[in-house]
Amino acid sequence: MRPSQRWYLAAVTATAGVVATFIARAGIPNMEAFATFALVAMGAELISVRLPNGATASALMVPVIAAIYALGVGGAYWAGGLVAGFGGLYLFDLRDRRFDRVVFNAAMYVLAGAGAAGVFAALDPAAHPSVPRFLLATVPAGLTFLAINVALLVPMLALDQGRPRREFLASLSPFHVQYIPFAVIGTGLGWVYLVTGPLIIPFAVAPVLVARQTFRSYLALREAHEETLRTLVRTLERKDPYTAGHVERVARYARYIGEELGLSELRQERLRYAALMHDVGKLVVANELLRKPDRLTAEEYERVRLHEAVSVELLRRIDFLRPIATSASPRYARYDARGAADPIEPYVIVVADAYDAMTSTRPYRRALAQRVAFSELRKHAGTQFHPACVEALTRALDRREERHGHGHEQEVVAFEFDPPVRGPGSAGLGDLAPAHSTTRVPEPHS
Amino acid sequence: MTAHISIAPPRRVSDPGAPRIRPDVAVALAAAAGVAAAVALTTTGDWGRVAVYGAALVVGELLVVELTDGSTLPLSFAVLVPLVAGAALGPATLATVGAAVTAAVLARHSPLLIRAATVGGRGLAVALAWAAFTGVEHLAGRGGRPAALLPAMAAAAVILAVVLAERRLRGLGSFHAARGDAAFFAVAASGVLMAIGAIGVAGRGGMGLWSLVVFAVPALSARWAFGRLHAIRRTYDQTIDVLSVVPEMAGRVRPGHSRRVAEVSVSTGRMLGLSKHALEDLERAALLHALGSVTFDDRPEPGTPRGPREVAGATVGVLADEHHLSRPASLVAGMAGNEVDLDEEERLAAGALAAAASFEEVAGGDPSRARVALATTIQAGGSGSGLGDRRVLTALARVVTQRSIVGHRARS
Repeated sequence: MRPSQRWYLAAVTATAGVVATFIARAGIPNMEAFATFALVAMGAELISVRLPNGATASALMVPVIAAIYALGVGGAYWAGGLVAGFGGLYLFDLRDRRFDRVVFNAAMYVLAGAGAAGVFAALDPAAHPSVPRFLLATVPAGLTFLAINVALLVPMLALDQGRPRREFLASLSPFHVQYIPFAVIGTGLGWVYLVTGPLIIPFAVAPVLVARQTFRSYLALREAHEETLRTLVRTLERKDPYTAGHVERVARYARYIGEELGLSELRQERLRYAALMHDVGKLVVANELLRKPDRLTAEEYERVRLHEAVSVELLRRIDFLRPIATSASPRYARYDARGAADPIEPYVIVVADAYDAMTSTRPYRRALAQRVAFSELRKHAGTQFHPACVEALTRALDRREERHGHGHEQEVVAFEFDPPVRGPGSAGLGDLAPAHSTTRVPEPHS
Repeated sequence: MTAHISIAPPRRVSDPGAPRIRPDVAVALAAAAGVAAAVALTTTGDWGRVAVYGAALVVGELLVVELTDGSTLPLSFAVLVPLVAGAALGPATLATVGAAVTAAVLARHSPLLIRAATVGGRGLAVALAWAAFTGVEHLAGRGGRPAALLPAMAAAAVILAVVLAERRLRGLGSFHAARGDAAFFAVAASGVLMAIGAIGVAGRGGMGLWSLVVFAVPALSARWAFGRLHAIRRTYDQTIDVLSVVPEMAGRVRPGHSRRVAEVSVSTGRMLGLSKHALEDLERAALLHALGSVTFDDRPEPGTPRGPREVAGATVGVLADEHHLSRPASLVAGMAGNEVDLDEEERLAAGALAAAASFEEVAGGDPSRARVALATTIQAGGSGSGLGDRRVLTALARVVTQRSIVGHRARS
């Protein structure tokens, strides 16, 4: 553990210790409920699911909110702070003697639970008891729990993995509608617990277990799908090694544009899959054409361009990608041909594809400088390219201070013959265009 | 480190091939149900309850959980438990169930007989569940708080049994498969929670109709999780399908080749008694076995071999680095007779793949060539790879003779 992590751990633990001491001095109003929900909290953490970003997802909020409800305003701090603290006692970490993690998680949950209890007590639903009133108190309490949880966790993850906090914040965003159900289930569980006692717990746990198991299967399948996409990329690169890294770069630029445009998580995922698959049609093109270190003839040009139609056809076979299948073809996704019609994803990929085509070295010409690529994109914005996508890409790259193109290439293939800087097939302005054209932006044969 | 990150929002992908409910009807019914619920939640009279249960049943009929076998389970089954627990089975209850379910099933794209059977099935479930509830309630008597759970549990169990029986009668998956599907337990548990929440214990402590809202959340969570799982499964399977047709589009194999090899090899594997996971790996291996062929040059250097072994080698080269595709890659390697570490089940699967590929090489989707193809495959049995296993060849022969599997066309 780095020194900065130690200091952070010490600060969180000390604060939680002070809070827990104050809570414990108040005395416990209902030992049976406290013990029950503390055990459920430990169980909830025990069956948590590991996420791709290194954090884990669990249903700990359900027993915490249930305990806050069941112990009422008088015992809310016991319920929130200390029941949540038990959730930090992750048995596998204890077994592996990862005491630093145990201490941090327990401290974090004490603070998050105490914060939730504070919100619940402040809203004081017991003054006018009714189900809606309780929901109006427990849902904000649950969101407070999550907000504190994420606020304390993100710095630790960032210190632990040496990555920017915003990367974790994006995936751990607390104020999301998807967390509200846990608060609602917790409220209901607390209510029926007071009526029936601990025997009702298995009935509340069963659906959560089912959802957890299903989510694990989902993550495994998603990983399998990612692997299939990597297989596609690898196959493409075996056919055409000169485009190594191309589809991943297009996917990255598309993500930048998508973020600038504020696309939802779902649309970003769809955009990524489409970007990774936009060149799938190249698999049916002869290697000799893809690797030709010279200008293509008109007939060869048409044969290569066929891959776009094939890509569109193949993307249409995937339900999830069907609405944006035209992403695979700059001809279908020309801005002046279809205007600003929804969805915007095909235009995003065409801009990302064109940018990477211009800033990469190919057998038939060297990479262009980034400023030239920007200039060409802007010149054709409103005709070939969607203006908002062009603007989003240039803005995103400038903000990240990323430089690509001539002089900044990260992956340069060892060519048998050095590609020309200018001349036939050079300069990027007419990669596949007829011989006389040297001023058109490439419709990305990439 | 841990965080309370739950599952992301449901991600439904369109499934134009199998619309269950017309969107306009669904929206209209759901809106009507919402209005009824909003009004009734502030109403304490019997008609208020009838309206809420009716609305909840309609919404429950419209919202279904997608099960692993492709069939669906309506969430309305969860609502039936509090319905029988909270009301005597009087005319109002029956009218509620009948009207709500009829309204919902009318919106479905299914034969009239199926719709009628659905309404009848719900009525039967309510009647039997009510009988179970009242019977157990009488038997449990004053058993205290633990015994208070038993009547609702009995009602949920009976409803579950009726659901499974109905599915079996309609041929919607086997009883055994459905029994193990976790979605049933999630829906049943939500039903019990709704019932206990609605009526409390001995008439005290219930939250009334709000229970339907609060405890619909676990059932909806299950629906949402299963929906997301099926969406990614569909995307994954369709992506594999896309990769399987690439070699034929590139002219490296006959149209429909990989799909036919997959169908023959999986049928053979099933005949050999392979496990579900082994069959899934076998199908993926069959669909992807020719993928490596697209990396070959059109005009190879003279003398460059292009046989099945070379194709398999190229395919393994693009698959083998991936964890989830490593087993299919091993099967492709085993199919070509390459040295690879396989257990007994994998050896059989590789043999089934080799046999199916050999059979398809000759048959090519032409039923009239099936017998010749089978004879050629059996004759080649002693030539190495997994084809040497008599069990595999016997299974292939049974598959070919028992089923007309040689006539599959290329999928457009």
